[in-house]
Amino acid sequence: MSVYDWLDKRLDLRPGLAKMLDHPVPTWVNWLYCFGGITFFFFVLQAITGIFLMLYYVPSPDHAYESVQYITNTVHFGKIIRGMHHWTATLIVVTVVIHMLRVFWHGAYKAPRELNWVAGVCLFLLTMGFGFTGYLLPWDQKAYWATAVGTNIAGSVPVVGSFLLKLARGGTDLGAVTLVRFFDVHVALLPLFMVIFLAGHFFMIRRQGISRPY
Amino acid sequence: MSTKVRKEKPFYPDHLFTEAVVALVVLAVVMLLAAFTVVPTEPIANPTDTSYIPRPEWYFLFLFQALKYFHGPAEVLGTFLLPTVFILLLILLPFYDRNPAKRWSKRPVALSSASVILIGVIVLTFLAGPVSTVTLFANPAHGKQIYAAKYCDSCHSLTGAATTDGPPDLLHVGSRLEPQYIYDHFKNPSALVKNSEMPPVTGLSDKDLKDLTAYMMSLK
Ligand code: HEC
Ligand code: HEM
Repeated sequence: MSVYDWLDKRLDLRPGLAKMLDHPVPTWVNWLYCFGGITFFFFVLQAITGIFLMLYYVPSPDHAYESVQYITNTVHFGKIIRGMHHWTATLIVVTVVIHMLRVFWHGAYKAPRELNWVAGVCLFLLTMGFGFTGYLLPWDQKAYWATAVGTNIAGSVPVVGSFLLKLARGGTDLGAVTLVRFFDVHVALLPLFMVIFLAGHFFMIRRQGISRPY
Repeated sequence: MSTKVRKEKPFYPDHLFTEAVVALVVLAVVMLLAAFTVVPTEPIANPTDTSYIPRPEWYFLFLFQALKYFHGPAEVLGTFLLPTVFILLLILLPFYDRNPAKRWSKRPVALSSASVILIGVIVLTFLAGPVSTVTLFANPAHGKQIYAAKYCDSCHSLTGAATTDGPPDLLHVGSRLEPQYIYDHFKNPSALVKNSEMPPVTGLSDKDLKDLTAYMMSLK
């Protein structure tokens, strides 16, 4: 008796699994349809490498830079883990945009899939949010000054600008509080929203099926 | 409609197997990139160094470039209005595009407007990005240190002062010259400018020369 049978006897897994796995893939699905899946794979990869980076990374101006250098130069496989996180961060933007263009090209955003397009745009914005907040974390010159410019842009918004600026920086200056804030958003808030929106995205795909491109 | 008959494949195991292969290939690519490249690192953040000219991540470059066209009170158009309109147009797309057709040939308006936007973003990215490979891997912050160490300021000013003869002011040299020219000029100024009074920049490695060039290019 296999482990699966043993578990199935107790937990009655078969119907659930069957629902997840036993469905035909439409004939018009070709390689263009793989980019959503690759993007998802990249997200999982970021979560895994990110958890490893967090073992050594310290979100404080006194230690952030040093801790990133330590990960890169001293920790076993640190260079690979950091390099993977760095490259995946770039590639995920490429694949999410290709995925979006694919959906646009096939008109797959049209009724009845309007809501899933909206969820998709939110996923896209979340992805960009990861990029923006992650850029500050190494606390080097470009991190600091690019974030100074980026948060200034938030400050230029009419009426609520100065509030947004203070919210983003945790004060008027860009410093220790900002770094902790960006770290928190990068490793807790955005992942939480990402998981929620991904669940919605996938739920809708399964309910509606992959759209017919003609 | 095409009469080509293709058999439907089940999600499990056929499709899942294909996806697993794709995932493994992608994983291999990422690991190779991580193993054989260096994540570029600059000096530690220095909040007092206000002369540093930052560049955002490459996928924000189009926005960064677009902002250069809005000055003074119009700046808010570029920083707030345009991005907001762009995001709203994106989110609301299924609600205002009422054309039920899916084939691209039956959606001329949607396809052409999207192409214009896409081309605009690509062009802006290239306008902002490095057009020359001279400074592709160069570090402008290090170039700045070289500038001081080589006493370039014994001849050149960085104040924006108008110079008619003698060494030119370099405050906006990056918007005036191409990186390749600056790099070649360092090696042998009089080869490019007849009777140049600037001595060739010597005693630097090729990497240092490129860093110095990158610093010049950051002076916009
Ligand atoms: C002895 C004085 C002198 C020194 C030292 C000197 N330069 Fe020059 N530089 C000149 C003069 C004169 C010119 C104008 C003639 C020319 O373009 O070759 C010039 C031109 C330039 C230009 C081209 C500017 C333009 O608008 O065409 C650049 C860039 C430049 N210098 C950078 C440097 C850097 C970087 C250093 C330090 C490594 C340096 N120079 C050191 C005298 C000097
Ligand atoms: C983290 C980001 C995202 C992930 C992981 C993801 C994942 C997926 C996956 C796996 C599919 C199945 C089909 C395919 O892969 O092409 C899909 C479909 C879809 N996605 Fe995404 N997606 C993301 C972002 C987006 C974005 C930015 C949009 C659009 C703005 C979008 C809109 C859609 C739509 C409308 C479908 C249904 C397509 C159809 O029925 O043909 N998604 N997504």
